[in-house]
Amino acid sequence: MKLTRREYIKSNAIAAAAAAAGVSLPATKALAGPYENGNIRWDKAPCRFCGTGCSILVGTQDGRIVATQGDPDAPVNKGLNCIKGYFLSKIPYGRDRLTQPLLRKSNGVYDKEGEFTPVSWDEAFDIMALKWKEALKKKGPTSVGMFGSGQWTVWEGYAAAKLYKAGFRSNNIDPNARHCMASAVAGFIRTFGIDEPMGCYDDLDQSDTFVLWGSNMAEMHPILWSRLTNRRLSAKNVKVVVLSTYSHRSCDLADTEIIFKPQTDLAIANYIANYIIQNNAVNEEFVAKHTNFRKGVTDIGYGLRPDHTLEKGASDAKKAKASKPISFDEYKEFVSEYTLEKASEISGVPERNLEQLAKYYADPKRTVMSLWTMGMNQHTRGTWINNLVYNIHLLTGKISEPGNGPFSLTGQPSACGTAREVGTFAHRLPADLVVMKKPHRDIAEQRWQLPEGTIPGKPGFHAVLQNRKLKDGALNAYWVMCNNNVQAAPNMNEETLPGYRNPENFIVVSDPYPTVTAQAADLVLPTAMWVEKEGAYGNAERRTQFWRQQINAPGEARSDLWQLVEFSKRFKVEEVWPDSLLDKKPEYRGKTLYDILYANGEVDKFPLSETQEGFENEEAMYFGYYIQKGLFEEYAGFGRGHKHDLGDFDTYHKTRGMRWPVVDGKETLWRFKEGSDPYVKEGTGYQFYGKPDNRAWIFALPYQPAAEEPDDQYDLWLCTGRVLEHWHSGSMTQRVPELHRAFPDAVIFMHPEDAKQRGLRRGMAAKIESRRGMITTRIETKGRNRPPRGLVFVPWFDAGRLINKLTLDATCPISKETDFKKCAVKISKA
Amino acid sequence: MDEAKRKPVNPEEQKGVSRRVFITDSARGAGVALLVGTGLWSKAETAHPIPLREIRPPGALPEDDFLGRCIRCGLCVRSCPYDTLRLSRVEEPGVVGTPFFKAREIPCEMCEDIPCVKACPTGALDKELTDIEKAKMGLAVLSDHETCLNYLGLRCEVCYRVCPVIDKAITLERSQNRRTGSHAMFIPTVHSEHCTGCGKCEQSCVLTEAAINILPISLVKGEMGKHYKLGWVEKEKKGAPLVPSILNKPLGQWGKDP
Amino acid sequence: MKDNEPIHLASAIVLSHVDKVESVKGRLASMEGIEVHNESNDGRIIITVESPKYRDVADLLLSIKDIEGVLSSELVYQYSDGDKVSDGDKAH
Repeated sequence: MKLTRREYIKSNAIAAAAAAAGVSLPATKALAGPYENGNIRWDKAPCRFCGTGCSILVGTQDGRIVATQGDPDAPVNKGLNCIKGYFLSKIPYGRDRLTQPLLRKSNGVYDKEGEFTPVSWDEAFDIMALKWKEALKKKGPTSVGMFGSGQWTVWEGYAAAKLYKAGFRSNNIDPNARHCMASAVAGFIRTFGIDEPMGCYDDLDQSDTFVLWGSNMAEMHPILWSRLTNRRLSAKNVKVVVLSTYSHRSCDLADTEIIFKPQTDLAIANYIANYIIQNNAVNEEFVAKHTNFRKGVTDIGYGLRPDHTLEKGASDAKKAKASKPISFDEYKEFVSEYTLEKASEISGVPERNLEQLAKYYADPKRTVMSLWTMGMNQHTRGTWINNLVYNIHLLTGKISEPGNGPFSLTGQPSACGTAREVGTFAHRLPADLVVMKKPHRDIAEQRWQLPEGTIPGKPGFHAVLQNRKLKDGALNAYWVMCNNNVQAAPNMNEETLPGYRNPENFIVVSDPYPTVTAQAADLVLPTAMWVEKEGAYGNAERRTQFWRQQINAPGEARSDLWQLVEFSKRFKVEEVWPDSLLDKKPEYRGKTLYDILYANGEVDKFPLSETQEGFENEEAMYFGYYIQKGLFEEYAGFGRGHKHDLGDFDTYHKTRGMRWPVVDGKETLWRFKEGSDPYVKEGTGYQFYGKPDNRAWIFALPYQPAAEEPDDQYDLWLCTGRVLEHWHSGSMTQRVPELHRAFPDAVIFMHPEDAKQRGLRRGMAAKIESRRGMITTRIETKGRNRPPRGLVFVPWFDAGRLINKLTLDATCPISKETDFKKCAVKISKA
Repeated sequence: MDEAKRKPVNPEEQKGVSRRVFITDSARGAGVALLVGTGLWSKAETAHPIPLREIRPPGALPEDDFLGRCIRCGLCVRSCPYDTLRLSRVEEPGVVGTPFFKAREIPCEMCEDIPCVKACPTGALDKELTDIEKAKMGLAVLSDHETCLNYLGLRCEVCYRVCPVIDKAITLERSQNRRTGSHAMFIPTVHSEHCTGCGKCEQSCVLTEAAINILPISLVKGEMGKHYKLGWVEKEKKGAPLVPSILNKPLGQWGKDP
Repeated sequence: MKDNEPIHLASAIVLSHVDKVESVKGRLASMEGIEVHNESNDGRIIITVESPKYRDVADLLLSIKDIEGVLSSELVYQYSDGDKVSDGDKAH
C-alpha cells in the first residue's frame, strides 16, 4: 500500500482521535504504518546464519533492505528470530564492505609482498588464470584447490564442485563444513550408508526426553531451543539431560546436568549400551531384523602429520574406517567392560546421573531425541561417538518415528543443502556419490557429458590437509570462497598462515568483507551476499529453501556463482585436460571449460523469460539464461529416483521449503520407516536403505584418550566455540554495532578458583598459551559459561584475539574434522 | 558566563530535564563549590533531585549523605580502570563535580578489588563495601515490555547473558509462547536482592533505546508494611511451622475412603 | 491537494446529540476541508480538518461548535508544517 506523506499524517491524526474517543477504525486505516512503509516490497528468504533455517521476510525499498521480520507463517520459526536474525537487515551495510577486486602490487605489478591495489575484474581474472595455468602445467591438477562453504547457495556449491572435479580434474575442493559436520556425515554413512538425519524438527514438539550430547542449543540454535523448551514446559514428564564438558546456558533447563571430562563421552555412550543390554531393554525384534554388528579398527591415530609421534605407531591410520562383522554376543561382551562404576570413574560423573540417563534410553515407554553439534563432531573420535549414539537408538529401536531419534544439528545454513548434498567435499559427488567408486564417477561423468576418466578417483585434500599442502608447497593456486579459514582453521601460526604466505602460492579470497583471511590473501574478490543474489539453502531437517535476488550488491561486488562461472571462460579445455582424455570426446576441442560445464545444453536450457518479473537476477541477465534453474535441475537429476529427490525448482520459490526426499510433490518427515518414507517397502517396517541389506550397523568402538591432554606444563583443557550474538568468525555480526556491543571481545571463561590459583581475578588481562601459540585477553569467572576446574572456554569469533593460534590440528582420522574442543593450555598474568 | 545561553554539550542528554531544573541545579553546584572552599560543606545540602540517569559509584552513601561527604576530589574517577566514572560538569544535570556514570555509555565492570571505594578519602563511598556483588548502585528495571524482544518471543536475552551476577540478579523465566504455540519465551527477570546496578544490561540492550534501565533504587523499589509477613517465607526461615501445635493431618472426608 | 503544499491538519472528536448524529454528520461533511471518518454509537464523531492555511483550520474548528446538535468539539491532534508556524503551535 502506497501512502503519501500527507496521507500518513492524516492517518495518524485519525488514529489519535479514534483512540481518544474509544472508537475502532476499519483495519486498513488503523494499520497504516510509517509512510515509508508504503513502498516496501516484502519477499521471503532463509536467515543467513545458522543451520536452523528460520524463514525471514525481507523488506526492500529503493534497492535497499530497510527492514526484516520473521515469517509468521513459517513452520520453523513462526515469526521469531534470535538476536542475530533481528539484525539481518544490517549485515550487507558494514562500512568496510569490499566493492572492487584488490591485488597485492608493487610498482604496478603483482607482488606477493605488495600492497592491496584496486584492479578491474579483468585484471583480477587475468592474474588468477595465469597462476592456475602455471600450477596445472608445472605440477598437475593436485596443485590447484579451493576451500568452500556450507554457506554457499546450492548452485554455487554445485558450480564450484563441477569446476574443480570435472573442469580442473582436481578433487582438492573441500568446504568449511569439514570443520563442522564431517564427523556427523561419516557417522551417518558408516551406520546408515546415507547422509543426514532421519527425523525432523517436529520431533522437538513431540519427544518425552531430550539428550544433548555436546550441544549448547540455548545459544547456538536459539529458535529450536525455544521449541524444545516449550515442549518441556507444556507436557508432563518431559525430561532434559545435558551432557557437556562445562556448564552453559542449556544446563539451565536440564533436569540432569552431566559435566564429563573431555573425550569421555565415548565411555558414557558405551555404558548406556551396556546398561540397555544388562537390563533386557534391547528391542530384540528390531535389532534382529534391522541391524548388523561390527567391530571397528582402533589404532587409528589422531589425524596429525605423519611424522608426529602419535601417528608413527598408529597401525590402522591408513584404514581407519575398516571394520569387521561380529555377533550380538561379541558386542555384548565388548560393552560389558563399561560398567557404571567404570564409566563414572573415567568420566568423573556421579553414578546416579549416568544411571538416570541410561534409564531414560532404556525405558520402552519413553521417546528419546538425542541432539548434538560440535561437541560430538569436533572430536578426534568424532565418527566413533556419532556411531556410538546411533548404537543406543538402534538397540532400543527408538528411531525414525515422531519424538524418537538421533538428530545431528547442523551448524551452517546450508551445510546440509550445499556442502553435503551437492558434494563439495574432497571425496564426494552429488547425492552421496563418492569419487573413490568407479560406478559413481561414471554416473557423474555421464550426467555431465564428460569423457570417461575425467573425474580423478583419488580423494582430494581435506581442509586441514589443504593447509598442510599449502605450507609444504604442494598446493599452489588456491581459492577461498565464502568462509574465513585463517581465523577458523586450527593451529593458525604453524599450519595456516605459512601456507598463505608461502611465496610459491597464489591465494585468492572471495568475501564481502576484509576478513583475517582476505588480509592474508594475494587477491581479494568482492562478493555479493545473501539476498544480493538468487539462492537456495538446505537446513538441518533436510528442508530446502529458496530466495530471489532482492537488492543489488554494492560497487563491483559479484556473487560467488558469477565468479566461478565467469572464471571458467578463461580456460581452453586443451590447457587443462590431457590429449588422451580429449580424444574420447574430440568435439570438445577448442571449447572453454565454460562451454563444457555450463553452456552444455542442460545448465543453459531455461530462458530468461522463466525468471521472476519484478526481481533482478544479475547472473541470469549476464549469462543470458536462467543459470540458477539450469544448475539446480541438472544437480537434482542426480538424486531424483535415488532416495535424494528434490522437488521442482519453481515450487521451491512458492513454498516455505520442503524436506527431501520430495516424492510426488510430498515431503518426507521421517525416513527409513514404513508409512512415512516412500522408499520403504510395505511389510518391512524399517529399511535402512543406505546399506545393501537394509540393515544399520551397530559398532563396537572403545573409549580412547584425546590427542593432547593437560599435563604439568600445560595444565588446562581449552575448549573453543561460539556465542549466541556472533555468527562464526564475526565477519558479519561484528559489523553490527549492537551485536558488537553485546559481546565485543573474546574472554577466557574460567573457574574462579583456577583464576585465583594463578593470581588472577575477573576482568584482569591474562596470557593463554599452548605449545603452538599465545593470545592475551580478559578473564571472566562469572559469565554465561561456567567451566569446572581444569577447563577454560574461549569463543573464536574475535578477529582481535585469534584463539586458533592455540588449537591443535588433530582430527578424527575418519571424518578428518578437527577437534577444536580439546587441547592443553596454560594461563598466566599478562 | 551567562548560564541561560550555555548550550548543553549533548542535547540528547538533556532529554526530560526541564531548563529550569538544569539552571537551578547548576547554580546550586556552583554554590557548593564555594562552601567547600570555606569548610562549611557538611550542612550545605538539604534538598536536591536524585540524579535519575546518572549512577553513583559503588558504595555511595544515600544521596544526602553522599553529597555531604563527597569533596569532589575525583580520586575515584582516577582509580577507575575502565573510564566508567566521571565528574559531573557544570552543564550537566547532576551536582557539579560529583562522580557518576552513565550505564548506557560505560557501565561499571565490577572490579573485585573495588579501586574507587579504596580511593575515596572521605567515606562518601563506603569502605564497608568489600564484596562488589553487594554493591547497590541502582536497580535494573526491564521497563518496556512492549519493545523488549524477549517479550515478543525472540531469542535475545543479551541483558541476561552479560549480567555479571547471571542467574541471580537476572534469571530467565520461561513461559509458553501462545502465539506460535510451539515456542517458549525467555523473560529476563531482575532480582533486586542480587542486582548491583552495574548497568551492563542497559549498556548492551540491542534496542535503539534500551528497554532495561538502571534507576535509583529509591525510585523503583516498593516496600512492604512491617505489619504483614509472608507465611511461606517465615516457615522456611524457621524450618518448621510457626505454630507447631496445629495438627497437620488431612481430615476425613465424606465420600472418600480414609 | 498537492503533496508539496504545506499541511495544516487536525483531528477532533465532535460530540453530538445522539438523535442528531446524522444531521450533524451531514453538515460537517458539507463543509470544505472537513472529512468525517467514523463515529461511536453514543454520538461521538471523528473528523479531520484540513487546509493549506493554518488560519482556516482554526476557523473551521471554531465554527463546528455553531452547528445545531453539537454539544462540544475537542481537538485531539494537530499537525502544521507551514512557514508561519512557531514551535508552540505543534500540539502533538
